Amino acid sequence: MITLSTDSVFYIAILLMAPLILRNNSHARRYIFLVLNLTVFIVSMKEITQLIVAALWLILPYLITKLADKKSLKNWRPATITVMVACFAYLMHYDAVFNTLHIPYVFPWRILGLSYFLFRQIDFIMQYEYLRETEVRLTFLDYINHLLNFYTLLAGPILRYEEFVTDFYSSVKPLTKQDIFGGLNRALNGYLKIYVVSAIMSYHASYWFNGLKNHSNIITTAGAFFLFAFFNCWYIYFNFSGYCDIVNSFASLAGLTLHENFNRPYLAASVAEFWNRHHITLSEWIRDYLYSPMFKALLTGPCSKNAAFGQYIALFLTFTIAGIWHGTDGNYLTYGLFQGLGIVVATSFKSWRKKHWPKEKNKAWEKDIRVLTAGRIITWSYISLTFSFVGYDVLGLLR
Amino acid sequence: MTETMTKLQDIFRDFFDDEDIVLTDETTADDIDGWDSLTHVQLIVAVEKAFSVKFSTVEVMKLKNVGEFAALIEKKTA
Repeated sequence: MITLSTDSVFYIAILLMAPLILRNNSHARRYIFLVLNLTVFIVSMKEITQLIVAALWLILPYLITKLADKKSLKNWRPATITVMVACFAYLMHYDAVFNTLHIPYVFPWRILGLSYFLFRQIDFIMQYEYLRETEVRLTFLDYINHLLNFYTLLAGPILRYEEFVTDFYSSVKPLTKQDIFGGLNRALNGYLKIYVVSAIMSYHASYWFNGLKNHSNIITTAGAFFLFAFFNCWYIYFNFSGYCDIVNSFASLAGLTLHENFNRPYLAASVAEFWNRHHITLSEWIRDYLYSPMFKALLTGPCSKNAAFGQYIALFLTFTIAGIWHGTDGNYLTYGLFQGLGIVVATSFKSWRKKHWPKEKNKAWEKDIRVLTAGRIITWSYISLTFSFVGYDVLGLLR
Repeated sequence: MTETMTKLQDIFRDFFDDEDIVLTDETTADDIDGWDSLTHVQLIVAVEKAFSVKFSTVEVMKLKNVGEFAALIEKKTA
């Protein structure tokens, strides 16, 4: 049975009300947005200690950034980000680290949207100097509105500070009938994706997963696992893209633009292409702040004679870290390792073709419908199997 | 074409193994075969070596086209 929690009803009410009070060009718009953001944020808190820690998490990096920039301190960025990542791991309860170190958790709760705060804060810290030099608005109010943006609080998309501020202060045009019906149509599709399609997929994924232990034959077990993986990957897609449809359409009705997060990912013909189409804002963030700096450091250091090897190391580590970011147990680490492996295989095959085949043959290969179809089937199968580690204790089955 | 742009074009031709590449201020990754997010870092390092400059993560991230890239190089080498 489909049920709506009190939190969901409250969130839907805010989404419906927001366009009525946010779609204007008044000076008060930023304050109205702040009130809405703080309301959603405070309602998501379970106790006062949690609220205090979350408030400190939001405010301290801003103050450190302002102070370090004013005093022209050196190496404050890596130091601040390292401390933030360590605190993040502690607040998210990464048991493998803290149980091994025998460090007890002081707080039993976790903060909603913490990982998304971290992404946006690292972006803000890294870009602060550039933002100041290019005279982008840099006020505490805008910083808080950016971090607490209630449209993106739960699961992104991951907006960049400059992108958010530029969009927020752009002139808002009056709503047309097309805007209203187009927006509501997309939002309704989003709700159908979440509450109907993904709910059905989730039901079947759980059904096949729970039945896995009852199989004694390896062939039927493999068949059941594939069915579980099939339903689970579609559950993830419909649930997440449905959520993005809802927040993007309601934000658009309120005069705000959010980055698109999906571009038909299961049409990708390789794992590398898949990550350009699925959770796009995360892919771009890890490309900018993990892959590129890591690859550049390898390329100008230990891998200066072997660029391809440096690239594979950077890709593998980037996706492994992204996997660990998704969740705190070994299943997410395994998921990250498999994504890393998949993208390394896809990239090395492309490099091999580029090196050994003439350009014309390469182009013909990439456009060949048989190659594309085979690539899509292989990519989809691989992604489905690796996504089975997301949300289910697959490693637990092996114990 | 400026001296910087001519040198940049030579680097691009060598890097992408394509003598037909002609750079303009508006050239972007979409216009050049093989210029994707995975090869971008290698290209940046090749340009850094050729011009003896260093680019920060944010400087590279903000580049929208080859014109901005050439302007950044000229700013660094001035």
